[in-house]
Amino acid sequence: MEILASLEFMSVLSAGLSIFLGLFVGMLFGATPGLGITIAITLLLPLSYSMEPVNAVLMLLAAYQAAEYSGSISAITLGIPGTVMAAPILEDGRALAKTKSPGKALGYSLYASTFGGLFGGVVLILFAQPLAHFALRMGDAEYFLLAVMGLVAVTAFAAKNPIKVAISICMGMIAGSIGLDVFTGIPRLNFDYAELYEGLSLIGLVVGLFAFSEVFYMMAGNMRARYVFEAHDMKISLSLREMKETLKAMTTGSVIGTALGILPGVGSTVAGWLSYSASKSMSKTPEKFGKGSGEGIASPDAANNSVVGGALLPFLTLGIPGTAGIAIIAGAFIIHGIQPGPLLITEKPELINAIFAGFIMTTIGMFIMGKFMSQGFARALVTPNFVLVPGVLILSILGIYAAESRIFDLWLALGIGVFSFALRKLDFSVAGFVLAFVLAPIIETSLRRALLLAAGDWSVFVTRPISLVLVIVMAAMVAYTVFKVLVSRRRASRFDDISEGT
Amino acid sequence: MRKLYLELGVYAFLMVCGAIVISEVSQLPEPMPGDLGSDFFPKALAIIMMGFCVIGALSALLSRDNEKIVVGGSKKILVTIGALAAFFGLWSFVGYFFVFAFLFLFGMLTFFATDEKLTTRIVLYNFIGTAFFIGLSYLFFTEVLYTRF
Repeated sequence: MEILASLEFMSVLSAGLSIFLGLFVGMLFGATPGLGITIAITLLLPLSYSMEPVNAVLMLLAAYQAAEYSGSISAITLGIPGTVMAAPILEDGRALAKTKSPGKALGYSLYASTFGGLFGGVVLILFAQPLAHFALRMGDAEYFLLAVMGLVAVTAFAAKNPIKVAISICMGMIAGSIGLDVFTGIPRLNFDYAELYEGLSLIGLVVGLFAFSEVFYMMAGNMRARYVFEAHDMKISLSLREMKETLKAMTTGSVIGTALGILPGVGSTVAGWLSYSASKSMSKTPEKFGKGSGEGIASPDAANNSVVGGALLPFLTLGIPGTAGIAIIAGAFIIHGIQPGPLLITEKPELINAIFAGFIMTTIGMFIMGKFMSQGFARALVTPNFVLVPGVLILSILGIYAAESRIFDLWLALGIGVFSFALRKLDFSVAGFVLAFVLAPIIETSLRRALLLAAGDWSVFVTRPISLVLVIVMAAMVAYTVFKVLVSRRRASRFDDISEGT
Repeated sequence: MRKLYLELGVYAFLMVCGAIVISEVSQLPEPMPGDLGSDFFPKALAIIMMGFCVIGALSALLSRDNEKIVVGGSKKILVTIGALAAFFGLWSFVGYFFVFAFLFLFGMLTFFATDEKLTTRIVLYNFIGTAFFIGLSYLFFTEVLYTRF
């Protein structure tokens, strides 16, 4: 009831418009191969400066939710996933689109995304308070370890070279430590640039990392590529029987997605593939997977969207963003001077309840927009890259300048864009970089405060029960990473030996 | 360019960056009693990063992977970077953001369209499209968001 009462608090109309804008941009960018979730959120972030905090957060969350779903639109209609997270549904989505209709495949995707979004939202609402109360018992040592664990998880679960991911994380944290030291007020690493006194501009940084570097990537590819989209039988609907048949897969995906969303650093790519495998092994008809199975679409899509609610849980209750998308959304909180964490939950319940209510509205809005506008978004996919590239560039420039009115941030974004393009070419992790950038102040502050309170005794990080558990989990992740590297090395050298032998 | 050389170059560059970070933060004042100090965190990260760079460079040298990196569209990328730099520079020194934004967007659309057969119709479409978009942006950013460019 508290959540419903909070609807009075937020101006429903402006919140609705913010959600609509977020959903529209998220769905459009998520559906367009090459753009995706982070660019959608990145380009919307500057707008949040001039918005009410709740509206800004809801707009970005709406974009996140919608892009998680709409990545499937291009996967199903074109055979090209709009986002990496949509890759697990590719085979089944395409097969079902051919054997039945694209509308049916999109129906499974949309219903499952909505189910997953609502599931994640309900978990968020139910567990936020208890987790916040638990978090109040945590000390700086636990916060430090939890944030570091998120970064270790990024390294451990990354598909890329772990050393390069670790380097990206170090770079991100160094970038995050530029500016005034929060403890002493001493400026650091600003190289006498007044613009760097308060640190690197988050918007300039994320636009450079994601939008500019992506644009260079698009230019390196085929600029003339035009996708052919055949619009036939696009009616998006599922019968009650079809919904019942996929209920188990949707629930499995939602549980896995929410759980992995809560774990900092894992994200929806892992959740999508894991839920696909889990649903296949639990299905009565596993042989249909890969050949147009509704469950094969529903499970990963439910997982992708439930990750959003799951990832919001540690962010809102502990202040620790678990995915790159949430890290950028954290920017909206920073812009409005709101510190996420247990105190936010207990001291500003009206804000949190408005976010909760808005989050559920966002998911319902995504369903409505997806049901009636997916065909339109699918048509937008035929926009060629030579139109998209200048469009993204000019939107980025307008967004960066509108945020803080500093030309310096544009130069910063350009420099970072060029540098991150080179790093991406070499498989470094930009997602790891941005997550580390946002987590750096939390990690540094909690480390220094923990040691200050413990009179410099480092054992504070292992003597408390929660921190000890976190250290053990991290040690297991590091061991898993080393094991993974060794196995892949051995495989690669065996493959080389076989190649040389032949 | 060989991937190996590019990787080694990046590792070397990052190590230089790490050294600069260490040298910069070493000049910061001594910490208060009990505090790790303003320099500890960036310095520790720079050292860790340099350590990872050494491991990365060694593993790159030891790996048999010597593939070539081909950056397609390098001309387009360089022209775009140059156009962005010129846009930012001209705007900083001369002003008139929306005029230069129009020229930039129209120029980029037309430049990328040269991949195809550039016709008067495409140029006209680009002109109208750019004018419409920039006009809309002007109204939105200056009249709704009150941003002064």
